[in-house]
Formats: sequence, structure tokens, C-alpha cells
Amino acid sequence: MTSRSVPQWPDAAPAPPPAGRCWTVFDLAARGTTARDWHRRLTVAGLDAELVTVPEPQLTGWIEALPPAFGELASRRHVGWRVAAVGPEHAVLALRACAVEAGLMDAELHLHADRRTHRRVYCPHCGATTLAAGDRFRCAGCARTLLVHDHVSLSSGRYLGSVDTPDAAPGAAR
Amino acid sequence: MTGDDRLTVAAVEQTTVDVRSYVLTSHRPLRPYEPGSHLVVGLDGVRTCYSLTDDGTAPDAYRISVRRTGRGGLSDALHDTVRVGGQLSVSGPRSAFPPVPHARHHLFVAAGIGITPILSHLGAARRWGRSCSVVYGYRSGAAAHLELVRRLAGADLVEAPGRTALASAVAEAVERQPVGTHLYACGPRAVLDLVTDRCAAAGWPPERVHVEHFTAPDLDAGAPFEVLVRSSGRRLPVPAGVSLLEVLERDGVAVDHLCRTGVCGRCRIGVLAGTPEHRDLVLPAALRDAADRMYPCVSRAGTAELELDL
Ligand code: FES
Repeated sequence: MTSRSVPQWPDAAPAPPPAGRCWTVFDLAARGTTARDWHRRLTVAGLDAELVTVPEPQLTGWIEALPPAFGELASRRHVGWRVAAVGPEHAVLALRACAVEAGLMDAELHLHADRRTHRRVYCPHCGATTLAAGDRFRCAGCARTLLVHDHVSLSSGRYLGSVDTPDAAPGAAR
Repeated sequence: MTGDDRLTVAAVEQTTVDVRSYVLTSHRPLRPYEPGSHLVVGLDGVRTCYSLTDDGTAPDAYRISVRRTGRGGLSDALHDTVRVGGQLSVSGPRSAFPPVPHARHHLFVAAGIGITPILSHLGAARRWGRSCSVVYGYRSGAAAHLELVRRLAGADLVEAPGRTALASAVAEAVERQPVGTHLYACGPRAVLDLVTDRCAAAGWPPERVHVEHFTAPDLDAGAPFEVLVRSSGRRLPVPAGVSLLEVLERDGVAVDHLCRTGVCGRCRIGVLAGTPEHRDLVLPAALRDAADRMYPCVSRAGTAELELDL
């Protein structure tokens, strides 16, 4: 599993480059009008762009259903297809994982997290994924209390959790 | 094999009117190689790279195919002098055109004798069950390995007799490749330019397009310039029509090299000051502005002087 430190996102979302042939822009409960602006820019640049909007209340369920849904979408596209997404980090990282699984490379992805509200965390003990709001949380699979580490798996879009011990501090393990 | 080794010519086969295939064997076990690898063949002090045509798994022999160019050179010399039972001095195999491990699909484009590395890729894709398709452009009646390519590729082959047919086959193919496809092309420069142009127009990121040149372009003589060799402090003039590599060699500065045509990347040297004028085929497009390195067998200076890290 490839992992790296927590991604750093710039404050302002950079616009997608007018590259590729066609685009799908995902508005994942994004703040403001970023996704719509991107979609308009791409369309004005003469690219075939579609906008997919996921409202906040539906986001969690949408992420759960994403792996097969994204695979199905990708199977109907060709090389030349680009994907853009903006929204909270856990949703953007989940989408990135599905995009890479479908064969897209970073050059074909334009991603921006406009906030970090939750993190999807992998429990190395039971393998469950929990949507955690803070640094310390209860695993949805085995009910252990876990700490979130500053490591993200790029292939799954999940942070790594570990059992909370008295001398462990959130984010201390690297 | 690491250094030069002598291999026995076990068989020579006339593949087309101007292409011969050579089967090279050794009493020692032959090293497996990645698909798309080449062998460096030397004859009378001249060395040239030839693609190995098998898939590279547990090779019983090294097979290369050589096209007579009619312009002299090593390929013609091989046709003229090498017979069954003879020996050839080779080094390698070297991998410079490998498949991308995570590709979802492989699109192979070959033109003319450019089929040789593609045949290796195709064989490996079939052996390991990797998804692939092939576009093969050739002159009618002069298609090397056509029967083998047909047998291996089956329904995944598009044959394009002639340049016009190849251009439209490529244009059509790059428009409808599944997400995650990587393209590999080998052929003359005009075909490779066509492939990269078509891919760019269809929105392919350059990272998905892998090309192998088999002929270096003819280069002009270039303007004279001067180099400063860091270690010795010597200043050497490089006249028009003489390569920097030759100037360095004549002055006793050893630079490792192989192809002398800007294809193999072996002669790379560091540049400390001044701006090189890159004329090689090694540097990827994104590094064409690099000022810290150059290939002196073909590249020259964009400034009056270069300081070399030698
Ligand atoms: S010797 Fe091959 S690139 Fe210079």
C-alpha cells in the first residue's frame, strides 16, 4: 500500500487546465461555486464537460457506493477523459482511490479539498473503515479506541489508525 | 551477460526481401529480459542496438531482426558478412522500452521494422494474459513477422498497408482506447510524430505515450562553440560538423558511449555553465530545457561556451 503524509491543499482551488477531451466534474458538497466555475471554464474552453453534484446529506452513502459506480462510469469512457473533484477531503480522497483503481493517473485528475471535516480511517486490527471526526475514535468494526496517524494510503484514500495507548499522542506516529 | 560476450549465430532466416532474422545462442544460460529490450551488437568497432523479438522469459536464444538499409553501416554489414556458425560480439540485453506494469490495456503501434520490439511486447502480453491490441503499418509485401503477429494478435490486430492507411488506423485507435491504456509505438520519426500528435489531439496525457525511435534524424553540422573541461581547466574548440564527443575523445577525455546518434542515452555528461542545444532523442519533452546535462554525441551549445562536469 503506498502511503504518504497528509496531503496539503492550497487555500484557493486552482482551476483545471483546459486539457483532455472530456471531463466529469464532481461537486462533492463543495463550498461556494468552485465546481460550477470549473465546469463553466471547461465548457467555455470547448471541452465536453459534465457536472455531477452530490449534496452534503447524501455524501456518505455516495462514497460507500462509489467503487462499483465509478468503475462503471470509467468503463464507458476512453483515454482523453479527465476527472475533477472538489469537496471535503475524505470524499475527494475516496474518489481519487476509485479513479486510480479504474486506471486514471494523476495527470488526468484535478482534485481539491476545501475542508477537512472527517477522515476515513483504516483499522489494522479488524480491517474496518470508520468515518472519524476527531483524532481519537471508536472503530466501527471492533469497537477499539483508535488514534488517527498522519499517514494516508493513496490507493484506498484512508488514514491509518492504531490502538490508543497511554503514551501515544494523536499524529505522533510516523 | 554484463560486458561484451560472444554469441554463436545458430540460424539466419530471410524474413522479407530486406529483413533477416538472426538466432544467437550461447553455451552459457541466457539472461531473461523485459519485453522491449535491445541487444547491442558490435562488428569491427561499430555498435548498434537491435530489439529482441521474443518475450524475454527463459530465452533459449536471442533473436533479432535486421533490415538492410542500403546505406552501408552495421545493418548492411551484418547482412553481408554474418553466416550460420559465425560469432557476434554483443552486450545486453538492455531494457529501455518496458511495459507499464499497471496499464489496463496496451495499444501497440508498429511501422516497418519497428515491429521488432512490438513483437516482444505482444508475445509477453499474450504470455501473461495482459489486454492488448496492435496496429501494424507496413509496405505491402515487406511486412516482417506478419504471420507471427497475426497468430499472436488474432482479432486484436489492425493491419495498415501504407502510410495513409496507418495514419487513419492510428487516428481511429487513439479515439477509442479504454481508460488506463498505455500506448507503445516504434517506427520512423514521421510515424512517431503522427502518433504523438494524434494522441495529443485526442486528449492523451504524454505519460501514456511511449515511443521508441529506431533511426536517428539526420542532423545539420551546427555552429562552432567552445567547452571548458572542469577537471583539467582545458578549453577545447568544437568546430561545425564535429561532435563534442569526438572533440573530447581526441583530447583524451573518456566518455562512455554507444550509439553515437543520440538514441541510447549512454554518453550523458553534466553541464555546469552555459546552455546546451539538445539534439538527442533521449530527453523527454518535459526536460528539453534542462541545462544541467547533455548527450555530446549529437548535442551542441546554444551559448558560445559550455562548462562541462568532466
Ligand atoms: S552515445 Fe548514445 S546517446 Fe550519445
